[in-house]
Amino acid sequence: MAHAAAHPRASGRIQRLFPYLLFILFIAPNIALLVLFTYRPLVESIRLSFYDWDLISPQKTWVGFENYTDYFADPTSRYIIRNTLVFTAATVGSTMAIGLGLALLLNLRLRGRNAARTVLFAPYVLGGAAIGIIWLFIFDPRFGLVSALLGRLGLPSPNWYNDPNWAMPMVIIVYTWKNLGYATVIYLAGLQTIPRELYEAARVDGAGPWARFWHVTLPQLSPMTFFLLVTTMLSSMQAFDIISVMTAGGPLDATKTMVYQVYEEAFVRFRVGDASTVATVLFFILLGVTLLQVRFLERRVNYG
Amino acid sequence: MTHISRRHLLGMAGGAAALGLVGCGGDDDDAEQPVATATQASGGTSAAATPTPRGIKPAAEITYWSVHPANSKAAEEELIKRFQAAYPDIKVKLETAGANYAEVSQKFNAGLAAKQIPDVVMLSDVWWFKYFLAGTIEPLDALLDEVKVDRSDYQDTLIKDYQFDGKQWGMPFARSTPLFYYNKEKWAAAGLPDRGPKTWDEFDEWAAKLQAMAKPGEFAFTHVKGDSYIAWTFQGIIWQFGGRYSDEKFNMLMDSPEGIEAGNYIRSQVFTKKYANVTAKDEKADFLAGTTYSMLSSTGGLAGVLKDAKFPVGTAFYPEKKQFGCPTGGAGLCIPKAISDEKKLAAMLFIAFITNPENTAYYSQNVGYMPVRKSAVNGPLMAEFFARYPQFKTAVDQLPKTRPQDSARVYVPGGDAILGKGLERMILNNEDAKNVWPDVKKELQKIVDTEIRPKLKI
Repeated sequence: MAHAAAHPRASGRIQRLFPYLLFILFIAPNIALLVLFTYRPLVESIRLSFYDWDLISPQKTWVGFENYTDYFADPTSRYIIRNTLVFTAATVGSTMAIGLGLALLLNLRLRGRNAARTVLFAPYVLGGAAIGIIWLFIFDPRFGLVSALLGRLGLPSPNWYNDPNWAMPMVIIVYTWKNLGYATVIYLAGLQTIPRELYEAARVDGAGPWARFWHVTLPQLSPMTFFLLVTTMLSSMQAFDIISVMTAGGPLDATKTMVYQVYEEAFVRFRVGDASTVATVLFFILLGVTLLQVRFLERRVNYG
Repeated sequence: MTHISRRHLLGMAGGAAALGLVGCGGDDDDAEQPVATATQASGGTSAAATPTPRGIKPAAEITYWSVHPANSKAAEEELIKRFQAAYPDIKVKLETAGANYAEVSQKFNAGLAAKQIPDVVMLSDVWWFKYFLAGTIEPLDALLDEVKVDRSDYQDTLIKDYQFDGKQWGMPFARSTPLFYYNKEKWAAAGLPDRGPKTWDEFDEWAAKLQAMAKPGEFAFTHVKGDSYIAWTFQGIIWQFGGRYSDEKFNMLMDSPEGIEAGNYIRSQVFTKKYANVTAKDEKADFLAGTTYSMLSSTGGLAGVLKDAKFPVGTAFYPEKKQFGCPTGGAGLCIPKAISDEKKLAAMLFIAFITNPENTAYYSQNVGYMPVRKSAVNGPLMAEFFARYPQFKTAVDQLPKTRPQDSARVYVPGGDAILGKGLERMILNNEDAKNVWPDVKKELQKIVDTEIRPKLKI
């Protein structure tokens, strides 16, 4: 302090700048990582979408917008966009709905509640590849658990591996199972922050369980709902591991999503330009969806 | 190329075996000596000593990327152990570079971009050409001469599969043909003779009988999907029907009337004759479980099938239609261009050693792939084994009748997957080949026009 008093002017400037310097110091590592591993690849990927390149030849060929015109002219692209949307809508919807249901259940004073919470959350921290392999056994049309259970009911097992109509439900079920714990934990945390007085007041006003859920619980959970919607949607649209392990996008492209297409174009077919094109389109779809969510949905969020 | 008599060669192979035994005994105080001797064992004449004519010494360590096809890791480890005994100065690091041929190729491609490549890489029939086009694998002719490998002792069809432009781009290693496998118990129960069907027409009759006694969920025959190489097993079928995927000038011809007939034939096996299914995951597992009674599958899995089967297994040639048709397949070993000369030399010594008559016979007997050397097939190395397990002989007998695969599958990058997907549309989705093949043709033609013609100038 005595030292600072000796140079009042300089120390005043530093003191004024200090919060900013501290700020920069704290965010610098993060910004550096983001720039290096997120923004630079993003820019690079957009740039590469205007070239033809096979990943190893020394030259890249400039093709202008040809990759984009090819992409939008190909009916397969539309099919894959549709797959991506179906997969995302189904996984986000079921993860959030079932997650909320389980959170409500686990919020009750039940025996073994803590154990149940742990068990429920476990799949979220397991690796996607391992989960995919385990569920492949479960869904095995001839020897699997699902087939055995359906057999008890006298039903034949769908051919999950080969039937283009059943492969998508299979990966949706597995992906939902993996992410259920995440949604449940977020909702559970939310439930525990809702003030008890609100329920008491509602009860005094004569609200039944359904009305209390609809008019108290759900609005109070809206920040969690919004957060989950954004995060699970982003991660579902980028789901890769489970699809790669279980179906490799098949049968007949039935489970091929845009992210899988990016991988396949780049690292199976070595068409980096086409892969970057899909990646860029996916980026703009995600950006658009997120902006829409922030712009229109966040207004309806009750931050209490 | 010096001509070597079979006896001479076998003598040397025996020498190699003896050397291997000595090496295993832990005799490592004369590290210099085995290099020269084992070079002989790799199938060459005498007089190659270290250093080689160029004055280059083989590198002290090389890395080998393999996918251990048909569960062959233990056999590969044994081959490496033998190599270490013969060449104590060259350490071989075996790395698992994926679960199948597509994955090792992807890893190699990514490795080239990241400059992290092995010294020996396993590239299958459908992948090596891509790296030849990209100029990233080494022509082996000079190296083969340098370590004095007798190329004339390799089975002609198998070594020719890796030739292009008059050069040798890889050496055959885990090489196969598809075989017709059948469950002898079921055959007997249906009153069928103990052999494979001569023609598809005969099989249609047989399969009806087999299917009549099948329980629900069981099938007389099974097809594989794209990722298990339906485009490979179907390569034989399209030839049998008189068609082909393409010609050597890269013209796509699968949509000919013959190609359409062949496609619709396998579709009819599944959807109208209903005696065939499409395997959910692994045709061998279904066959071993006794739920499918016959299959077309690589000879590469033969040792595993015979070991695990709880019933007698028969193997036979492909059935015919208008004619016989059967491809070869499997993987060879290539050397990347961007490694040092010392590494290339060590890599070549390794490849020559593990494909020498003694070792290819060992690998064949323990895994199922064909011995790649004539002297191994025709000599005593395999004779006793063939007598004991006649199933192994089918592939070797079939080999002279095979022909090189069509360019659409093996030379067009990604061609195998595109053909496989087209075939899946027929056998999974019941789509008419008449509608499928034109799509496949268009997709392949585009790759030929953009990626192959400019580079080959054809």
